[in-house]
Amino acid sequence: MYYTLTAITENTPGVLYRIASVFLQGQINIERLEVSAIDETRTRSRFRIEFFDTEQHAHLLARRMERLVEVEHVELTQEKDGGETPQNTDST
Amino acid sequence: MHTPTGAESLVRTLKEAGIDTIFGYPGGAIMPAYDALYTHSNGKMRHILVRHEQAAAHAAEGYAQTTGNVGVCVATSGPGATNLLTGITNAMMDSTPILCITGQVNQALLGTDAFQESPIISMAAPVTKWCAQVQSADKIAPTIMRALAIAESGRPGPVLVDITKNALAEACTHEVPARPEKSRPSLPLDEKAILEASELLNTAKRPYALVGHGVLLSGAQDALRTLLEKADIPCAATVLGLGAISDDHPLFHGMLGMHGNYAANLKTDEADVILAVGMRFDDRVTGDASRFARNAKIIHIDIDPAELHKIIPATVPLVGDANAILEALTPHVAQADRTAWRESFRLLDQCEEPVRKEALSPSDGPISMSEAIRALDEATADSAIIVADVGQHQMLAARYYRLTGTRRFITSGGLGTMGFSLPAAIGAQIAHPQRQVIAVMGDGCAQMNIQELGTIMQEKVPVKILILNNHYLGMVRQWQELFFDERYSATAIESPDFPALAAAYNIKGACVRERAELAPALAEFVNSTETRLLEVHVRTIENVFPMIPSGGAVTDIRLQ
Ligand SMILES: Cc1ncc(C[n+]2csc(CCOP(=O)(O)OP(=O)(O)O)c2C)c(N)n1
Ligand SMILES: [Mg+2]
Repeated sequence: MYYTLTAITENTPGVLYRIASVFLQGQINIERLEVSAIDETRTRSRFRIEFFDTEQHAHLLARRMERLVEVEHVELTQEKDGGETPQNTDST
Repeated sequence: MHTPTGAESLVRTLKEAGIDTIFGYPGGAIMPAYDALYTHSNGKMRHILVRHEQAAAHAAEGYAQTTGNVGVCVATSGPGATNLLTGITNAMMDSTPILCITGQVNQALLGTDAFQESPIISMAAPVTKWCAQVQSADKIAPTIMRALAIAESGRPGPVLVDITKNALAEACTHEVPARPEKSRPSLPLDEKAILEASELLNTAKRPYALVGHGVLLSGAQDALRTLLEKADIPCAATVLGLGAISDDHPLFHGMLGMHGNYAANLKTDEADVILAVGMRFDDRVTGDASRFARNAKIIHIDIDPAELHKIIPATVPLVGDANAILEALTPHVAQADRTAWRESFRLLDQCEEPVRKEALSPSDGPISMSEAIRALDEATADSAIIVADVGQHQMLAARYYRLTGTRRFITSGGLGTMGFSLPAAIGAQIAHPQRQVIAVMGDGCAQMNIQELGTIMQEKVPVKILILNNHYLGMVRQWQELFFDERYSATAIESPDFPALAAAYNIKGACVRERAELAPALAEFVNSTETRLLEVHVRTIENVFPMIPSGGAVTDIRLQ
């Protein structure tokens, strides 16, 4: 299934790397990735990551990401296969 | 007025955080920190010079596991830092709070392949709970305080702070934020889930508790025992959960997993409700997970949400501190008497009796490893700390060394790191100078951090070193015997004369081959106030049973 994961994180060096490590360890390929600082003080970032995964594994991945100290909030959304419109939202 | 340097700020911060022991090894990039330690070495900060940085990390782990406080280790940049990685990974797998401080090349040289530059943050990131690089002196104190808080909060783990040499050398305004109180985040208890869990336990016919390391980490031993006694629930422990319930408790049925006990394993498939506390259903515990606990609803208590539903889906997940949750659960759990269910454990336990008998009382032939462990058990105090290495001796120590009184069992669980025991025992002994600390290792493991005999010599660490020499990498040999047609590829191993080697380090050593010598030699060994090494030559061929063949289900457990 196709998922979009949105994460709010600290805006510090290495966060992208740590998040990528979670994907690498799960051997999940990233189809699309957007990162940007989100507030005026540039202290926080938003990640938007799209990937294919099984349902159970995608949830595990989201929880493992939430475990990272720099990650404040994670939201996992299942998309229609490859599509852009969110189907159901599942906050982990 | 003297302006402190970053290095002085580092040492003062550690002191203000209550740290009084550091395991480390100096080198170029970290030299300013060692210079500051020199100033502060007036008895308030003890630095233990190890002989390899891997040992510094393991010693910090041994220290942390036996005190509940963060263990601290220090290394220089480049090879010093990379040598820590095995220890860091071990601490990550076993949820052990350690702080690793590494030197780094000057900020101006970062990314230039400078001498002894290694991208330690990139290497350590996947195996630390958190890591950060500090490039200016003013950031040292707050970063160290944050690192300490992260290491010990929630599910503990290793953290690493990499400090560039210029940050250590330059002047700073030393302002230390107060060390945050050690926090097990008091997540609001999920009252509904607690009621659901109690309902499951109250209606269960065959409830069974699986006890993990989390119980020890949260200090939930009393709360757990109270609940189990009230509801009359039998239990077993993972290798790192051993000791959370005393071995002689009537509800305790031993160890789970590949080399665990017969009843302990088989009953997971019979139970209708499993109460899993601070354990993570490791594959060495579940065997084939699709065939694990097929008849049970699962109540899973863990402080790390990422552990819930990871391997075994939980019927009732409870996220939080084990002690708080168990205390909240107990009042809702009905008093029960489950004599028949308990009795069925006892009957299955008896099936294992021939295995125990053969291992512990062989009629003739060389000493068995199992009987050496049991003799150690009989020789040691009620407060001994056993640090087992990795292999057959580890599993046999878990099986035959009885954890009663305030005894502790420390070992490398999740990573299975050979060479863990000697440095970890150093850390444990330094934390507990008055307790008997015994490192139990195989002949293979003994040579994986043997250089630490130097640390022991210099620091006069009265640790006891028991080498069970079967002349094989025994655990691998056992697998070759059972699953590779007895093709013993690269598992016969020759060792030095261990007592003579000890003597070279000014450590008294002895060697035992005969059964009659074993008990007297062990008595002298454990009761000495000095360091001792004892090598026991055991039979070359001995297998650890029961065993769940790898890939098998717990119900495939073999007694021979
Ligand atoms: C660093 C490391 N390398 C390899 C292994 C694989 N391994 C597990 S147990 C074992 C044998 C240990 O031999 P020994 O210390 O003699 O213990 P025994 O099993 O004979 O009691 C080996 C090689 C490991 N766990 N760790
Ligand atoms: Mg051996």
